[in-house]
Amino acid sequence: MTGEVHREPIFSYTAGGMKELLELKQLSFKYPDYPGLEFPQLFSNINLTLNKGDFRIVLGKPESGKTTLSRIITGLIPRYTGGVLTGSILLNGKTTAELKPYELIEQAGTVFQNPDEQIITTRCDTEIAFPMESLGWERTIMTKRIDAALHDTDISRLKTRNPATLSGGEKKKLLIASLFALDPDVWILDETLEELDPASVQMILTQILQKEKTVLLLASKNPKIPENIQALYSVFSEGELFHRENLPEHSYQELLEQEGLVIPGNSTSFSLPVTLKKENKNGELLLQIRNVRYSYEGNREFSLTIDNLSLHKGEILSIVGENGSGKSTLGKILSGLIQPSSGDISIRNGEYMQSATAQALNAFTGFLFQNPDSQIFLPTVKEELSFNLDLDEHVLSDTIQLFSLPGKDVPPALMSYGARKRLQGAVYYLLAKRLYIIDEADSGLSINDYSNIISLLKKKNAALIIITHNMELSRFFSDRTYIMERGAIIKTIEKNQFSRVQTYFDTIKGNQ
Amino acid sequence: MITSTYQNGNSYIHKTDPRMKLFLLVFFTVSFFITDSISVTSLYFLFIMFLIGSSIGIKGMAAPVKTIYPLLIFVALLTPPFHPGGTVYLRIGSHILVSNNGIMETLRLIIRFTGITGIFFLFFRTTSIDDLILSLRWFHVPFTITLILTIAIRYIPHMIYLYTSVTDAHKLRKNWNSKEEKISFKTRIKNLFPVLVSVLIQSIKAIPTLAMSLELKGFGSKRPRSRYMTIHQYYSFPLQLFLLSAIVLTVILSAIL
Repeated sequence: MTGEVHREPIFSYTAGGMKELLELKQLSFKYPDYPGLEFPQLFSNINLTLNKGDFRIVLGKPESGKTTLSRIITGLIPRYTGGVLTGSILLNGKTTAELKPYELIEQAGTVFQNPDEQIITTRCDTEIAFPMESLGWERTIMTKRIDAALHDTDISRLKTRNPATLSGGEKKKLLIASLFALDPDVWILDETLEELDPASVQMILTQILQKEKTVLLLASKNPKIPENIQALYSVFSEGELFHRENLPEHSYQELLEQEGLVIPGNSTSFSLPVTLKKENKNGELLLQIRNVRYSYEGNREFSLTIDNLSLHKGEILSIVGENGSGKSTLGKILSGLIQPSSGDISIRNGEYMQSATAQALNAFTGFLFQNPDSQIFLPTVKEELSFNLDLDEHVLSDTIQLFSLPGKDVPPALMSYGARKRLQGAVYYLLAKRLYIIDEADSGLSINDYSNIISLLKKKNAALIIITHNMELSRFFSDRTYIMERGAIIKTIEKNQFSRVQTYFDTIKGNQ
Repeated sequence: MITSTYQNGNSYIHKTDPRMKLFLLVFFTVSFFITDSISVTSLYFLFIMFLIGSSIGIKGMAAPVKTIYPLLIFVALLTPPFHPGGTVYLRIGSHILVSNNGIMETLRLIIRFTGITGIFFLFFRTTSIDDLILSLRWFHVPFTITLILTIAIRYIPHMIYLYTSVTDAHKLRKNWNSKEEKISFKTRIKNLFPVLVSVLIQSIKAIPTLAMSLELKGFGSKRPRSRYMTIHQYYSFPLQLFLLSAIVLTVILSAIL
């Protein structure tokens, strides 16, 4: 990490007379319709001006149009998707209407929400070099820029690593490093701060804003920004973009809560579903793990070590930890998808606890993967929900309603990411399971949808495990939280021990 | 998750110049096809096995057979009836099923396929993708083709990962305490279709995203492309001479035999 941290705000949106770098004027967009699936107008008449050095955070629930907006600015939409785009985009005072994405990269750069979709090469330094090679830069300049960018993002040690072996946070840092090297004027960051620890957020934002870059950060939850960095805020709501500076503060806060963009703290408008309010410590024991060990073949850096873990009926357990800490590995073991090298997993079968086979765990556990597309494979919502089940039409329509799905004949492949996540929840809602594991579902759902899925699954008299990076979510939803690091549970926090302001990293620090 | 076919190592094959390895790859592949002599193809085969065993390890020698054994079984079953001749070992009515010619042809094909698989296995195990791309560029292969190769190698492990995820999801689609029924072979095959369709859909969906990503990296720009990586000087020249000598030897042997 380099560079001193500014103690004074390094940006102020009240500064006037600055150069307008990005202007969106009366921008409206609608995706094309498909048979059986009509898309409404995504957004209308958006106006936004970013001056040199501005840092604006655009908040919006999943599917509100944030990613679409970022791709419109960078020239990818409607080029790749079709649709009707009206209004104008000016970059450095010039319209981008006739320009191809590759003609814009020196002016506006972006980091995708899912870094795996953006990374192409098999080495970190060649990934950063790729756009500079496309622009025909000299090798000596590229080498200098790559080294500096890796240094600025604190990933110099990863220079020759295959990006496929990096954690989610490291991949995002690599893509940020790519922008550092290319040095565009406008940076469009789509959920880029998710998965980055506070120290990295501070370091990266400080570096970007020190260079007087213009940043548009798109986020579905209000990100924690270091105190010494000031930002402008906008909120997507029902196809319109509201700017905080144009609203009374209470209206802005109400808008955030209405859109499910903040985890309700002192909220009066949001309350937990009744099923989530009860603390559940006294239900019957459903699952017990003893001395479970697991390591991946050829990976000496990681091994899972769980000495003791138990779950009771109705209990919600959160597992929090960084990428690679072993959360998903534990989930796979508990659902019988991988078998531990040693140790015992017992599950309740009637009145008794008995050691479970992999097949028994497959039936016992419902595991909602992080990526819903791995669990959705049939042509329509109806077929997906009915797979291996003899479903009554009423149950089908009730489920569609409960999970706000667009209709039984709609092809899941054409549904939005959030709707596919809700469908994934509905699939497991219809299956009788004793344990549900929800892996990072918060990344594509609003707080309201997330809460709805958890409460509906909990009604099934099962135990729930929530895997998340977000300590606030864990505090809000769970009875107990385990912090995992390097394959082991390093701390347990009971619900009543939670401090509201405690972050995951504070917790780790406190533990050490 | 499998991320690459390359396995880091320090063997003499790892240290061999990738351009030399690429040349040898093409040479042996062609050599297996230009001779019909079982003795010569067997010599090529043994030489490749020696290279695998001495660089990757004895276990590695079984890998080429493991990779293509279903194909080898088909070859062993289907080739003999189509090459009748010489001593007949098995016949049904007037149909000759197994004869001396059939067995020789089967052996020739098995050795050829296993040998070619072996040389490709050795190449990709000991050559990083970056070295491969640089070598291809050194041989003046156009950038677009090397890029396609990079993307293919980057996405094949990803597709294996997708396939595993989807089959895992299938395993979990059952109720607790549901009756465990023995799944017939026919049902297994039938169940495979939605899995493959799902992997296919996800792969197709990756195409526009990949194209977007390429354009955001300046692909399509009319400016002349520059190069960040350059092929560096490789190490053990004597060993490379040894490999060249081996090539000459095999060429002489094939000429004599």
